[in-house]
Amino acid sequence: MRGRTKPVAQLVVGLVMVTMLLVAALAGPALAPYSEDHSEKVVVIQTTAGPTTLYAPQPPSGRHLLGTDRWGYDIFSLLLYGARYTVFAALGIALVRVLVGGALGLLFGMRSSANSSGRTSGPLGGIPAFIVIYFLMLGININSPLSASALAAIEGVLIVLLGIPAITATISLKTAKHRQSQHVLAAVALGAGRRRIATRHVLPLLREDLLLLFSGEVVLVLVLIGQLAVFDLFFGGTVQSFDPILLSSRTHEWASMIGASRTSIQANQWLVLGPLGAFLFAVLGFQMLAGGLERRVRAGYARYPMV
Amino acid sequence: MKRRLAVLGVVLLAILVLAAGPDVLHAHEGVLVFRPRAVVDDLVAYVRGLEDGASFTYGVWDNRSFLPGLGSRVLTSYLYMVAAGLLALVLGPLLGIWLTAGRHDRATDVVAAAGAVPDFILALLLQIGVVALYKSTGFRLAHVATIDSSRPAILLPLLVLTVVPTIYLLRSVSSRVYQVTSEQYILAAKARGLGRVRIYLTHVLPNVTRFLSADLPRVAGVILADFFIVDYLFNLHGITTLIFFYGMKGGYRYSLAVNGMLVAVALYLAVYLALRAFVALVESAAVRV
Repeated sequence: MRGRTKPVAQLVVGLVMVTMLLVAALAGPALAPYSEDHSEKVVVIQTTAGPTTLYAPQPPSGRHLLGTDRWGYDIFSLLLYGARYTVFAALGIALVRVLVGGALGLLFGMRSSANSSGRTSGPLGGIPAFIVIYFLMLGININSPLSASALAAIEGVLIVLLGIPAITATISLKTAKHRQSQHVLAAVALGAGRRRIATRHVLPLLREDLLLLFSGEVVLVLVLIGQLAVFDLFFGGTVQSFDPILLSSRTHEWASMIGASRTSIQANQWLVLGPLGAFLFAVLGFQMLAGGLERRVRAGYARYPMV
Repeated sequence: MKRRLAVLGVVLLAILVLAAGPDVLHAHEGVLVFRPRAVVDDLVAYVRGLEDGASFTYGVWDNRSFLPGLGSRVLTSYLYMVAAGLLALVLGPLLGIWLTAGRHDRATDVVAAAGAVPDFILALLLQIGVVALYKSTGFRLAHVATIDSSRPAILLPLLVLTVVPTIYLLRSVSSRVYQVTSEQYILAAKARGLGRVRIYLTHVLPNVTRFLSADLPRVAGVILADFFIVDYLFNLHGITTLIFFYGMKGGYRYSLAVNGMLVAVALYLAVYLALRAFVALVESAAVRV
């Protein structure tokens, strides 16, 4: 079969990347070369030419793999400390989205009449999600009295809520379609109740769809967190200092580290390059996994072009 | 028509309520304040401000009216969005058909990976790349941001704005082509001895383009959401800073956010109509041919 090896390759690469992300998220603080509060604003090091004074931000070097930020913190270490926020937020939020949206979709799909066309998310679905969350989080996210975990939880719940309608619509449509298949009609004729149909006949058919939805949602959630970070709303809270106005992230979540340093495109580019690379790695890793999974599942019952 | 008005009404209401968000829920001197009444207060103040003009100023410390600059902001935003939309409408379907019909699997993988790169990452990478190129060779490929009206950044923002809807259309068209070409009537046409090109022209294409118009609302929405990010990162002087004013100056202003979002809705409709007119034009030309 054509292309038999490629989907597997994509899946393997995706799995390896996601495994690395999980390791960084779980063991990040233990792997970090410097502690979270180790700062080198000014440091004197001994070189062959005698003592040299280094000022923050330091460019990437043997001492600091990705350089240090404006306050002298090691960027590579901060990324390892922030990994758990990026990785677990994306996974957790996507999981809740799919579980709640899937359950509601199954419920609606079982109740809707068989030929009702699927309900779309309506006109409000056209408003970009990051704008909705922006206005709800704006008042509380910057220099907030709330803890980082409270803010992360609030933003997480909002992202979950905004994603549910689309998933519910998709699953409800698929449920209604599966209810029309022969084996379900047979089960109905034999007297199976609605609950039994839902759990024993429709749900097993939905399992693959839910898995694919989940892997796709992880990427969507990451992008949404990133878009909010562009507009200075960092996951887990934004710290704003005045004179000069500088932003920093409480959690060192990767997108928020991009947001805090996004103006460093002309000078001190390493400030944004490290976080940018890490975030891109996460997005591409989850995307590869999603794409690989989708190909693998689709390959099972593919239709092939006739010409 | 009635349905469309109802949709517009719902969107309008959503904007009026949503913009009150920062006043309803905010932190004040270290305490979290939740005040649902702020929705009503904001709305009343906004309506009053419509009479005396207070709702058309930047507010907080700056009581300048934003109306004089509004025209150029709207026009700038419109031109970027329509240009990106037209490019996407030409490139997306062409690439989609070419990739699927030609079975360019490797190229399809590359496109899928490129489509996964979020807009703001692409924008930042391009900016950094252009700066790095300039530093190493002295060659200035493009402006990384708009400095003033005589030196606008065009190439990079347009590139980022075009990539996302192009890939969206490409995927949509490509999956449609895949679906259509696996239909039985294609096999029937093949059995009758029709050539590949003929089958594509008479059987595949008409069944694919029909769906293009249905995709247009999504395309316009994608472009608008993308434009906010691009406008912000490339400092294009479009409408985005009206909506996301807080980050620039500090202090939140309800009327500015509402006005900004209303303008955004109008722009969305204008962009959608322009794209639809383009598709209608191409279709009528195709019929004559």
